Amino acid sequence: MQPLPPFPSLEALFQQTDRLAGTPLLLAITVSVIVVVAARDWRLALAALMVAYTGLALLTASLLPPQWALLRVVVGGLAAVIWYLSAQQAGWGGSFLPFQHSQGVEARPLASTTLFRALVVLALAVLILTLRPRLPLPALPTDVRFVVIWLGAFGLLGLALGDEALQTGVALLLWLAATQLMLAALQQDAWLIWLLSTVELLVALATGYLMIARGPLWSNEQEGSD
Amino acid sequence: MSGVVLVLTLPLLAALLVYLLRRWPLPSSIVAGAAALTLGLLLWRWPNAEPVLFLGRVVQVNAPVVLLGQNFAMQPTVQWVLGWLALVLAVTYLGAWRVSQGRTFYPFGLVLLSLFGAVLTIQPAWLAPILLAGVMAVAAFVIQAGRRGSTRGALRALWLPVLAIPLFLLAAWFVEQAPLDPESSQALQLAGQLASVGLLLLLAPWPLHGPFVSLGEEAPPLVAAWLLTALAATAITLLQALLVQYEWLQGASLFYALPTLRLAELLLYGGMATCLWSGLAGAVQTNISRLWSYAALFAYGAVLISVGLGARGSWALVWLLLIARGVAMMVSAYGLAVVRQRAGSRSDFASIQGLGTRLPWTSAAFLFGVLSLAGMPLTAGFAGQWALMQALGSQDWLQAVIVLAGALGLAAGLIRSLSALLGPLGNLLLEREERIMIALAALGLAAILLPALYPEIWLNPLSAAVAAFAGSPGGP
Repeated sequence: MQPLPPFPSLEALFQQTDRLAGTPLLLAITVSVIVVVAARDWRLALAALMVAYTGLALLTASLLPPQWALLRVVVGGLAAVIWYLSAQQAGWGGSFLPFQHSQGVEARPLASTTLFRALVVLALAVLILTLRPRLPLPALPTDVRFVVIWLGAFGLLGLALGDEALQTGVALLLWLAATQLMLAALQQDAWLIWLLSTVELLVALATGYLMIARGPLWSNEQEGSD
Repeated sequence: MSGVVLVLTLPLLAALLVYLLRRWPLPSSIVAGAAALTLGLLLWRWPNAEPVLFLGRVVQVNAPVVLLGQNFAMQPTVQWVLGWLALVLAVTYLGAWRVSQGRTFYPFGLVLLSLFGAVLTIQPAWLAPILLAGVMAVAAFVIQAGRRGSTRGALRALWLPVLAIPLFLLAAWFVEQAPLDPESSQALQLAGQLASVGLLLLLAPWPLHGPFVSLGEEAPPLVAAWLLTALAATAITLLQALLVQYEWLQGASLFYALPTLRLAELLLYGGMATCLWSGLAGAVQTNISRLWSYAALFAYGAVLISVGLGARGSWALVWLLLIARGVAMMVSAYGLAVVRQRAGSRSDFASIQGLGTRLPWTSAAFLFGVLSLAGMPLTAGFAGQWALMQALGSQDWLQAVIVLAGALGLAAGLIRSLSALLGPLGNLLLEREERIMIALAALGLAAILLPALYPEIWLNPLSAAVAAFAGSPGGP
């Protein structure tokens, strides 16, 4: 039996992905973030989040040592696992917004249909692309600056479009991902990176708990007492 | 040993023990309350700059310590504020003994106290919002308290601290860049703008007040009262720390086109808008939990106005308002918690009809507490509110009228809730208050009424607070 070839090192792995740098990487990140915010199916949103975090890891690898960049995938993966398990425990089905018709819930007037969300998301995307030459934070490299603004803007939009735990958690993680990327470009501080990663995981845990507390799909139970 | 180590570890050790006892309210309350009370009293009694003996070991309260590669140090202001938070937490546990706030609150409250200690002692202060976001993530568990249904209160509490993080980190980066180009002030201007916006997010005047209202409405009342007290005290202390360390921050304008629009003006007008909005919203509420939230928001608006006034003596006024607000929130939250519990975890007017006739003492605690939050005469909140009105009136009488209008709006909402509480009782089998509940309510009423009759009660805690903050500028 032939011996297995040696597994490539982390540096070699990231070097092999160099061909993706530039436009393909930016495209993957931007499209996946659009899907994260606009998607109706929570499974699609989590999958798109993983794509976004993988892309962010590749982008961060150009700024930080590969081991630090890999942390993006680890954090994103753990957050996705937390939310997936929480959704399973909460008895969610295929719909991203399972509580439109739950008793006692006041429907948010903005976060109604996939079409509306998609339109708002596309409008924001066009706005950012139009303003791309004049984006703030000139101290950052061009591609990094674009992704930071993209993540931050869509994080804010996600907060505005949804009031459910998963939507809020995803939006906050996009905002923190923007912060992480900005820090990676400006200030390579390991302590700050792990502190922010800890906060990201705590936010994922808290929103995962709240997903379960929200109750199962089509719940007919009354709200619990103190 | 550093005082920081004690503040961070003692509550955590007590939380471990309390976690084992969490299924029994009385032992949990005793152990948790004793731990919080002990820590609070020690922090208020120990000098900041001199060594003291604690359990056979020498403790230097203000000694810096390095934990996980980061510096922590306890300034006199932080020492006083953490003592205040610990004492308020002890009072919260006393109330929670008779009205369950969720079993997890007993250990988690102590954990949160320790985490707030980390937020306030971390150096430099730019990193505090990161820890604060972590604190609010942990607090989501006690805000939700195992309740099924709406999660809005816990979710919205996460927004503002997370949003503020990159603003402070960018501001810190610009401050570091400033010495590289001493002739240009652009870096410091940008740092000032970013820090000011970040502080606005943490201080959250109108229209950023939504998370506070949601938290007050949905969390168990005593938990909400303590968290809102802690958040207000933390934000004010962080503001003071940044103003002391970076004096240029006081004159930073937020927009190049409006150089006179600084953080002070935004807090002043934002505070007035907060007071007015609270009164208008409170007047039309049909839910006493939301009414209570708006009353707490009104008192907080008064605090923001006093910070924005920025006179030399404003720290005394700020802390008079904050202490009175904390006391009133605790008392009214206790009353609200009992009423809500007896109404089957509901707080709309239809559900609380007539409960005041069976729960007169706790209803009175709720009502007088809200009156105190509105700054009405013969309550603990009146002295601070009166001083604020005088300070505002000396500048512009219209500003005092705006705040007064808010107070009157809250009073109108309170009258409507009183008519609901004293209305016809639907459930004639509803049990009356137990003697312990009456005793706790009477204690709360005394805490509201005595300072109005004997204002010198405020002298000692207020003097200590002002002495701790005395080395700082008067405000932004």
